[in-house]
Amino acid sequence: MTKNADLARTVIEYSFDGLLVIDAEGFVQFANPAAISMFRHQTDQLTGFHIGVPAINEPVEITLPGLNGACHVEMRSTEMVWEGRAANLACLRDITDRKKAEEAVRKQAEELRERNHELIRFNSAAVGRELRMIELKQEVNQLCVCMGHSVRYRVTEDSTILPASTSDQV
Amino acid sequence: MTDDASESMVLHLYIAGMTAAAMHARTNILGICEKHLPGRYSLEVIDLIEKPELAEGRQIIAVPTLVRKNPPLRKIVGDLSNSDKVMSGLEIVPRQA
Repeated sequence: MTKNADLARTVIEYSFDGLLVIDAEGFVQFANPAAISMFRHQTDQLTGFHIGVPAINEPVEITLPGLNGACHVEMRSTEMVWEGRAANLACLRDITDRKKAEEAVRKQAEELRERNHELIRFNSAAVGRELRMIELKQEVNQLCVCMGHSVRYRVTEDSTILPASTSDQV
Repeated sequence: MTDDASESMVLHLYIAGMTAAAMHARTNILGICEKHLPGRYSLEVIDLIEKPELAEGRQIIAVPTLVRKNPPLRKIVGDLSNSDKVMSGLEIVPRQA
């Protein structure tokens, strides 16, 4: 084996990305250690496994279902020649942690939206009740004037209504 | 398979929840079948989240995976967006317009 081939094999073996060579019938002909690790919950013999022919144009999120939770990988694929025959090179990147982080952010945003809605509902109810109280007290004042009595409540500059005097307080 | 126009192609699409890739795979295979196999195919979508026991028994380790049940068994993995790969994988003869 030439020095270049040795170097290439070392790169492939140490790559964080999984590499699969899949033949035209969908059988795995080669898997690097990263790919074997990704599929360790699905099969202990990845080489020779009938995984299927990749039929993708763009990078696609693939799910590796497992008893201990699914693993998510992004798959890219390109055509190649392997030992003189047409094959596919599939490159796999584990995005499970990224998916979990995205899900956590999504849940957090959902919780914040829900809390915000609750605050808006509470604020609307509290302010609405206060405005109604002001209206009622203004009506009481008008009735008092009609009956020849002094007003019961006084209105401040910021529209706050206070008892006209301690003795008048309801 | 495709030599006998009267024989129906039986397809199983394995997914794990209705992910974007799963939805694309379903849409893509339906489009291909409706165009080239109208009335001569059946497609069953099998969700491994609902039926996880089917994954091991049917040798499915990555989804979406499309399986042609008619012998010889064929498997295709991905969102099936590469229609040339899907058609050659399933041995579908393009239907003349």
